[in-house]
Amino acid sequence: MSQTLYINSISKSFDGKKVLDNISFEVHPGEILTLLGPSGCGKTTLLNIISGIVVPDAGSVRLGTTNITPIPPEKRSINTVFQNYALFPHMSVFNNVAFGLKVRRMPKDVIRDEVYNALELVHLSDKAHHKPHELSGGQKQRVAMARAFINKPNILLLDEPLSALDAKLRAQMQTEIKQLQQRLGITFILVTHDQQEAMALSSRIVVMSDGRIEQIGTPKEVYETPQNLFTATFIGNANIFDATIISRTQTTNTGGAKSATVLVENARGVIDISGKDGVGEECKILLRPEDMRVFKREDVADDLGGYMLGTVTTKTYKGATVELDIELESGKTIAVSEFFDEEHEELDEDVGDKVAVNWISGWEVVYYPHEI
Amino acid sequence: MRYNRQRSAPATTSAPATATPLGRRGMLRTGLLVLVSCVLIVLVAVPMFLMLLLSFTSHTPTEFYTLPFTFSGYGDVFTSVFASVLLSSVWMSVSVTFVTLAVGFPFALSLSGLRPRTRLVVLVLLILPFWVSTILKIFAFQVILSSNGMVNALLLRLGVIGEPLPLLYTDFAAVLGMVYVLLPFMILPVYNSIRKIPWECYSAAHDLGASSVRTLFQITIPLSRSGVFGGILMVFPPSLTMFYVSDILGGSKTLLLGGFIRNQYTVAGNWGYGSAISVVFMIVLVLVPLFVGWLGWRSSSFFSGGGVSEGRGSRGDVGASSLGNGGSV
Repeated sequence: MSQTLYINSISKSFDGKKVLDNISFEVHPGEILTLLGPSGCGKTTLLNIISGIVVPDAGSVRLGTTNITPIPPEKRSINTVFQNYALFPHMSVFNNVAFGLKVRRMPKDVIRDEVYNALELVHLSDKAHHKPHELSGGQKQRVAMARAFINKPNILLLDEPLSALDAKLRAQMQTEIKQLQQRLGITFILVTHDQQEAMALSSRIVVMSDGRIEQIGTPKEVYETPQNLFTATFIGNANIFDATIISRTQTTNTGGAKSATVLVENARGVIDISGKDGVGEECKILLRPEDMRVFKREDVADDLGGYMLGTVTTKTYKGATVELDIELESGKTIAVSEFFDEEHEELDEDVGDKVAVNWISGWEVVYYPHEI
Repeated sequence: MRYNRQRSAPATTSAPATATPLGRRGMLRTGLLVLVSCVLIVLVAVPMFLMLLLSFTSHTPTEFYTLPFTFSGYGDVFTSVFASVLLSSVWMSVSVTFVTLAVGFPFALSLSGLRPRTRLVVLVLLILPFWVSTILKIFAFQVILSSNGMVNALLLRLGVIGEPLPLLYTDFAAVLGMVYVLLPFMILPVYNSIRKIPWECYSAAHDLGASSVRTLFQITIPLSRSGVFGGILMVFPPSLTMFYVSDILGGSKTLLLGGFIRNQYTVAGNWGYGSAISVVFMIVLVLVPLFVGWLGWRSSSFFSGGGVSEGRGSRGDVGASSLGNGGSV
């Protein structure tokens, strides 16, 4: 029932300031796509362009084979769940949900059945005659969703759907949104500035900043192989190091290097490289906290040359992990997570301990100056 | 309800205020409360009490009022003369209220859609006439509406009419004058409640496919109901008492409630009867707004802290200003 949505070279300026700069991507039928970015990156404007509230300066929005750019919002088969729900305060839950069907002048008994079906789906059948102000935040959220999806749109837009809820409800609603989407089979496009929400909900994430797309990919791709430093730092915790290639260690048949030794914070380490990079070249290395390994300095047998040296400044116990902040000798502070497993039943580094840090070779992401 | 509380509050809250340790602020507060209480007692409670007392006095051809105390004033309230006065008064006030609403609502709606700067200018223009005495403005209407006034002159010049229309000294002129005076009191609360409608409600209605007309009738009008009730509360009661407008523009052809009461004092010299009518009228004037207010509150409990109570809050001011104008006649 859903169709592919094509965003073609969309640009938009407000008062001479470019908010969206030549944005193109497509949204596959039945997926949950998230527009993720800091506030002011243009994600909400883009959502409004898809819904039709905002008209783009250039480019087009196509649904299947239809160009919907000139179609006004009320005629698009796209519905929105607004950030603060925007329920009609004077109408009961029933009338809120029925609004779209009444607009289309459907028969009364059909409306009744459809509304109760929709309320059933969001577990609110017993609240049909309540007013919005009698509902909790999570319930309002579900009414807002029912009111939108009852119209059987091709695409459902959700603007910061969970921002008004507390942490526990948010986790619960994430699951509910996912289940609902699977049942309805409608394409969901979600806007959020919360990277965790984006990771948890999306089949794909569009990372945006300054009106441009930084990366499009699955949560796994975006987290593990961020294409640039913006994505790397915006999604998850990241330690970024300056590194210099000091020698190639492995060479392929064609003469290119597969891996190389680099000097990072006065420590030698091994990275995978693509081929052409030469000795002396500078690059940046991204390491997630969980890519790092920490040892007490006295436990490291002989050669400290392969480790970054530093001192633990804070230690946070998080149940499954222990998070350390370590101040390196250069003065740079890095974040490290350690997991409890069979090798590490006790994570006994303490604040003030001298430690040696390295990383699991191959888990790093390398950026060369021309890519940044 | 706040309307009442304003009057009774000083008496009840001054006790705990004096009970707290008398710091500088405490003394200031107590002092202000005493001052306000004194003003209210002298200007409101004493005259009201005197009027209540007068309403039980008898009437002789030689005395405006005299003992013994009697209920005859109240008995006379329910006479046919009074009933017809009441009926024509209420009819006139209903017309005035209806016209102010019919003109005020679209005005408030378009006002809320203006750019902030333009809106400010319009609001100032709306409030500016308050600085001119109501009586002066009403006399200005006499000049405009008279048979050789501006309106007739214009219509004659344009050839729309052959001879001057009898505009002045009609019910039309009286209603027009009252609408002119009371219109801002309808526009402001309605504008206020329209402005409070969350912007996303319109977006949501649009998103769900509603046309502008449907949005107006299903979103804007229901959600501004509290402001409409507030406006009615601020327009209807004063319009019942603005006898000087109907005197000046309506030519005293139809006797309205305010005029009828005044006549009891100044013409008939029957102060007891006049006071009795005033007391009954006052009770009705308190009950009707309470009832309308309750209706408004019930129908829009979402705005329980919003428009309605604000309307009531400022209604006290309207009462005071119309009283003040009434006094100056």
